Amino acid sequence: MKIKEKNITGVVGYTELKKPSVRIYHFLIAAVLVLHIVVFLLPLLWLILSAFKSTKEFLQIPPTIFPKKFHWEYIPKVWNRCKFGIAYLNTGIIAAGGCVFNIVFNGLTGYVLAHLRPRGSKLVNTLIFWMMLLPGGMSTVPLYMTYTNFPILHISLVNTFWPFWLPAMFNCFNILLFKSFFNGISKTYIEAARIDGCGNLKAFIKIILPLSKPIVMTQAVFSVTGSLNDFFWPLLILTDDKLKPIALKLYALKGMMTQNEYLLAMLIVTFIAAIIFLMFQKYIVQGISLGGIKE
Amino acid sequence: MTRRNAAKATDTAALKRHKLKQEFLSDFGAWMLMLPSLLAMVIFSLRPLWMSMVYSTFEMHGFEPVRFIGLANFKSVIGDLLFNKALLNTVKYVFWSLIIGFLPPIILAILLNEVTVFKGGFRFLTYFPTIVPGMVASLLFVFLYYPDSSGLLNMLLGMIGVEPKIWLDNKNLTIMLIIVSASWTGIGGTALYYLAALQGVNRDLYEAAMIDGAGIFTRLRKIMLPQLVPVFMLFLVRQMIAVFGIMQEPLVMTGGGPDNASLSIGLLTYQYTFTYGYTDKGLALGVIQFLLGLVMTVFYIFLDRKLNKD
Repeated sequence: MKIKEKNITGVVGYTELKKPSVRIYHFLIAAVLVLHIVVFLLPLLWLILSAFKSTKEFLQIPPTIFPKKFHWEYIPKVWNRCKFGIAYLNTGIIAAGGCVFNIVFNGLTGYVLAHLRPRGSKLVNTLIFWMMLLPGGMSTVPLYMTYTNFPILHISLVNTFWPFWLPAMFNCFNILLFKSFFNGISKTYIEAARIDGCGNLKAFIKIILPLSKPIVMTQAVFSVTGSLNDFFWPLLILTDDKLKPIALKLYALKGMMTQNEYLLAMLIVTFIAAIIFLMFQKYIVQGISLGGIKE
Repeated sequence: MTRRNAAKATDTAALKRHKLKQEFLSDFGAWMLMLPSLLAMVIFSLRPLWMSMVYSTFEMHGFEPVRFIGLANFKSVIGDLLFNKALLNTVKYVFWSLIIGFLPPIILAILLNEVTVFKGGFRFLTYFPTIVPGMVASLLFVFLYYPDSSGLLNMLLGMIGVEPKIWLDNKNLTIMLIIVSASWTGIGGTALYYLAALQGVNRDLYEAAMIDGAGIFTRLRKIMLPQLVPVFMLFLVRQMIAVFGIMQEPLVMTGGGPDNASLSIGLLTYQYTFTYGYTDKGLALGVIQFLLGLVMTVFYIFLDRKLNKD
């Protein structure tokens, strides 16, 4: 195969690649990568092959590798039995709410810290920086107490979506991401808006947010993937079966169905996650590189 | 003359006052924009911190504090055999995550950096397991480790004539196997993160070294790796801190079993509070976990400062 010079990113140079000994190394590198990928994708392949087997075939000894017949008809059956429609609706509602609360409030704070900088805001800056470094985990019990007996109002938020939306209003890392992005937006835009009679809030909504599509999209993707994976807090808060989001729903179904049906349920969840990934790939990759800013 | 000066003085004073007022108003407005976020910070971050510090010294009745009992909760947690087991297990989790999670992504990143064909495809397929939701990954591995021949691992062993073995329910293997399943989703993402760092190295350095007669492995060892040691070290410590709080994976995969062999500190906090109903012990253990995490974080900051100084 012809090697293009622009494809070379490693320590091995273009001229060196013509040497036979180096070419063998190079072949080995590709071979090891292929091996790695085969081993790592094996569980998924097994999932796909097993999910479409009938219960009888799944438990048969010796086990078959390829199903005798792909039982596609199980897909709608499992989807309905698991009530995945409602689970995804709940996931969507949690994600959408969390996304709005995250972008509006962390965005506003990032905007104030980046552009308005009122007296005393340095303190907030420092506080956010240090709080980001604090280890989590300790807060499980007191947070649960906060949700079951919300301060001042003294109401329980159990079996509502508020415990997923309200805490999204403050996230140190997201605030810093917004702040560093807004820093790159020229102050002249805001000044021009102010001369035209825009207040701070209006300037944020009409000027800053439309200019910040990449970061807004990245944050939206964070919210969506977060909600797809979120399991622990839903387990504690959403005890009502009708409110369960997808990861918790899947966990709750453990032991409730035959193995092959359960594998199919897992496959459906994986498939939908993969589609979401492919749709937002650009912003997810952006998110990974933005994650590097944290250093 | 003097009257005019006086008028001017009051004018400037008024102007100054006006300006101050204006500034105060705009500052006030700016603070109001941050207010919701700051309120959320107090309610969901600072107050819980304070609550766990205070309530961990109280006898709790359900989720209500009853009376102050000093450090008794901490004493009863530290004296608890379960805590000792969980602490030891957590150390084992961190150990295995270092063995399994440290070198492989580095090697993968180097390979992905060197390969010259199907670059995009290799990258995508390496990353692919990271797309699988964590819950599915944990549950899928429960099936792979299934103790009869319907599990993938036993099925593969069966092909070479080995009898089905017990995996997750084996006390000696369970922690390692849980880490393997967690690494399955993690390694691809970490490798791509490292790859981004590898591609930040200036290629002219390799060319220059090549002209000076440095072989491929010399270049790798002497030029590429030294520049990336800080990235690796910091990631390693971050991973240690993350694995130290492991809870979801054992909760989903084993529930802490067999015989508490996979019980972690995070899981024990959950069990104290929500399974056994010892809220006070849960709070105290939370504080202990926090303090241990804090020690690691301080170490991280120290390392970060030291490595990024030069």
